[in-house]
Amino acid sequence: MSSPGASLRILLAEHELDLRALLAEGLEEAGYGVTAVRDGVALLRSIDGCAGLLEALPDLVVTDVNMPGLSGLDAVALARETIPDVPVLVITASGDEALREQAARVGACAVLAKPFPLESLLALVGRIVAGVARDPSLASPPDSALFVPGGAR
Amino acid sequence: MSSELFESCASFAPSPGQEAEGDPWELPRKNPLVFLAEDQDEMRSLIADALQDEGYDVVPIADGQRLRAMLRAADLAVREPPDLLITGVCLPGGNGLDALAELRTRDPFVPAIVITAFGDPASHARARRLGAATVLDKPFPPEELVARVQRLLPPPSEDVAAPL
Repeated sequence: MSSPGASLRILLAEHELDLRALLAEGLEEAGYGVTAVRDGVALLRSIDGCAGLLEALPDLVVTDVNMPGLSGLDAVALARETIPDVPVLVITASGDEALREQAARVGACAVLAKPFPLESLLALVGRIVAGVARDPSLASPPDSALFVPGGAR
Repeated sequence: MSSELFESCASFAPSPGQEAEGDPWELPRKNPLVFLAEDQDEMRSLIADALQDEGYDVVPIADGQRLRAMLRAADLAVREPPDLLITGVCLPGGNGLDALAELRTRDPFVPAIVITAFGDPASHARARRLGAATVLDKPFPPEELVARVQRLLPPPSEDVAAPL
């Protein structure tokens, strides 16, 4: 398989084990380097562990919202101290307008509502990383054009 | 693979109770909201139960990193801000007084109660400087803490279970 993101690192936070494994496998097969964690605390620990080693920070964070202990949005809110410009893609089973607004407030650039086919995730990830590659400023504030409720367009 | 993924996701709506322990964020709420950061499980449960029995909504938090994340999320309007913060000092993952100090840079007025394990004078002094309304030394009966909370917050609705 081609490797569109051969050097790109994705930090994936998903609570459900089977889904986490499926998404990680799909992203790795697409050529991305994937670190998969189970909840918001592990997401923060992973980013903190990278702090000071800028080459190891993720290029993209993909996170679920409802996870035990600390939600994905809570974690990203704090992680912004360390990764202010890294784009965040939120995957959620409750992708209503309120959730999208909350995601925007933590600087997420896209929301993908579950359930979704893997191809939608890969397409959206490809658009995000391509946009970042073209224009790094895309990653800082949320880009409403990239908000994709219900799947990639 | 995509079809398998789609099917596996179809039943992935969060199950009841999957959210953070006791987190009332998703529930219709009209009672004062308390963030409770305490690392000792038994103590946290005792305090949370006592406050919930009085009608307060409580978000139990087990470590300092979660506390800072939730306070930051509240500041960004990702979650509802607390009406009261109760925090221990020495929490795994971060000091409760550091979290309170960070909160004070954004909100100088939200009331706070600090719980100390050893009655450390330096912690008392710092907590007071950070505007803590009360500093309680362990051990203390939960009802004492409830009484302090009742002085700081408006009374919860009598019908605590009623939706908005």
